[in-house]
Amino acid sequence: MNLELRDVGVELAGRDVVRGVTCSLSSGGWLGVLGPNGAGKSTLLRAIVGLIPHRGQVLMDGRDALGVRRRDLARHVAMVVQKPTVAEGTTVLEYVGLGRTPHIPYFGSMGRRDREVVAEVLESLDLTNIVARPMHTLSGGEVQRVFVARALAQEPSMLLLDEPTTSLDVGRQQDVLELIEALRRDRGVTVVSALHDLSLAGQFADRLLLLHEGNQVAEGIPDEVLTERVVHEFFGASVRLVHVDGSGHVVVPVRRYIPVGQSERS
Amino acid sequence: MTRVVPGSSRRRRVTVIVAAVGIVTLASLAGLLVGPVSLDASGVMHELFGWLPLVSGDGLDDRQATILWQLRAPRVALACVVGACLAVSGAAYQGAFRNPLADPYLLGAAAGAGLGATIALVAGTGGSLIAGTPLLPIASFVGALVGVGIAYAVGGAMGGRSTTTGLVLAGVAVASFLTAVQTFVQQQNSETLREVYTWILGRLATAGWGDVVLILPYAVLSVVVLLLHGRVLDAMGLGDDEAGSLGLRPSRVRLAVIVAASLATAAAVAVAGLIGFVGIVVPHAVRLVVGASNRWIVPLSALCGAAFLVLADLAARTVVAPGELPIGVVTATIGAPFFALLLRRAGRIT
Repeated sequence: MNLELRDVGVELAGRDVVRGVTCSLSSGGWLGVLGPNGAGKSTLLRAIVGLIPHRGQVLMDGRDALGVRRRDLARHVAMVVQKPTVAEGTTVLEYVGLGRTPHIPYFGSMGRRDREVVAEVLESLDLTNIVARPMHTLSGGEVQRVFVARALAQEPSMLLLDEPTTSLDVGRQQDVLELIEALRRDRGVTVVSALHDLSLAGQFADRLLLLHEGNQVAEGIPDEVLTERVVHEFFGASVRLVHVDGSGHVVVPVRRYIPVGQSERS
Repeated sequence: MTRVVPGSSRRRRVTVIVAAVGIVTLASLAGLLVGPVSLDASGVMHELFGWLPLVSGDGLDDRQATILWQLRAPRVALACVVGACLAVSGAAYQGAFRNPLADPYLLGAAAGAGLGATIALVAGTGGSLIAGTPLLPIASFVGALVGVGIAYAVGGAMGGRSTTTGLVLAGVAVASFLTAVQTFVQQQNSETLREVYTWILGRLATAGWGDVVLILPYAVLSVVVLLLHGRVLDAMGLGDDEAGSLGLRPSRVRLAVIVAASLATAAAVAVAGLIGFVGIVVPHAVRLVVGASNRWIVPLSALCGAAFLVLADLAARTVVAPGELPIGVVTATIGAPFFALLLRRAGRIT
């Protein structure tokens, strides 16, 4: 599913939270949405999936998302919010099964095909051996995989992820992003994710969109968006960009000034 | 080795449902057998199951049959229906509001019903109606629905959309206001104080088949609707954003649950007064046994709510026999320590 945003804006409580976002993403692409805290990343994702009203146009395969019933949209577009709520005692199997909701009639229950899809997702995400565990007994990396599994159970052609790597250690962050990369490759899922780690964003996403105070300030391939000047201007950080062959851009923070005498140690 | 938690397997849950049906049956039999006039157990069995082949023996005499069919049976039936209504409404509210402390009276149903009942009792003693009946059940039914209706309207206006916090706060405000009005009406008509007080503590004592027939349509409709919401309530547990991204409209689901649960609650308070604690303690106890899925919590709450109230009523009419305790006092005195014990046990397991 390709995605096109045309001059998308969001107003919350009378205030413009997101303004003038325009970009396009081809089917199977990965758009990384960057920006400092409060830049409007989550708001943009929520608008794309139709949870809050927006101005402008969100086109999915050329169709305006506004004209699509929410239930139909949910069969094609799945979202993992930043901090999903999990009812105490919910098991992995129950949680992933909830992803079938848009495919089941309101008063209906899971059918054979629903169970097959859930089983396939659990298998492909290597969760089969923990299906009976309650969610609160899992590690951070496992929980994140279960969240993704819940979204995949919707059988989406587009997946929106709000900061999927927050609160994970660096190894688990890589695990999650590699998993998403594999889904993109194997299933052709289009991915839009808010990311706060610039290095990881530069290495995994194939397009980046930078928001600053709700405005789109840069958009394009990582080489165009991630520059030392941009990072300094919008994140207030002093960085060096290192290009690692085959991996992409790595953003390395460097000290803004070296205290007197410090250099002698090295 | 994967640790399988209690309640995670389907077979175990089916077993629990079957056990709950058994408990309701046993509790009901106890409710029929125990009372100031002792009824012969085999006689009662014959009276109940005499139509079945292979059941033989003597039935009850006419006086005993009248006690069974006109006094005890409607009382047990009413306790079943009221208990199921309150427990299911509590479970549904807790799911829809994602709040473990939600109970059927969360949005002002109790205060509204209290005001309605007080007005009915005042009007009843002043006019020609006898002690408020049959005005009383209708007035408390309407009062409960009006209370919830105002809370929903106020909560919706506060949050723009019906957010859970807005609704809960509106419920608190509306309940306080209606209670204030009720207190005022009661103060102005202190001769009805005793009747109002009795009503507030709950009563199944005057139950006849009329009461059962009166609330059954509302009870059945609401409980069925809430049972069908089990899976949707699980999705609501993900939070409004995720539920929305799964194609649901959370504020609409919440409205449907509020309407159904309020009908059931209003029906229950209309015939039985305010019986507290059932809506909280029963769903929580159930949750400790079968886990987090509302597909199991809601139906099991119905069964356990019914059994709990039948047993509570049995205690209410036997502990200080020949007198009777108000059933609200019994549900709280049994329920609170039982609840504390369950929580303590759950705390040890996890």
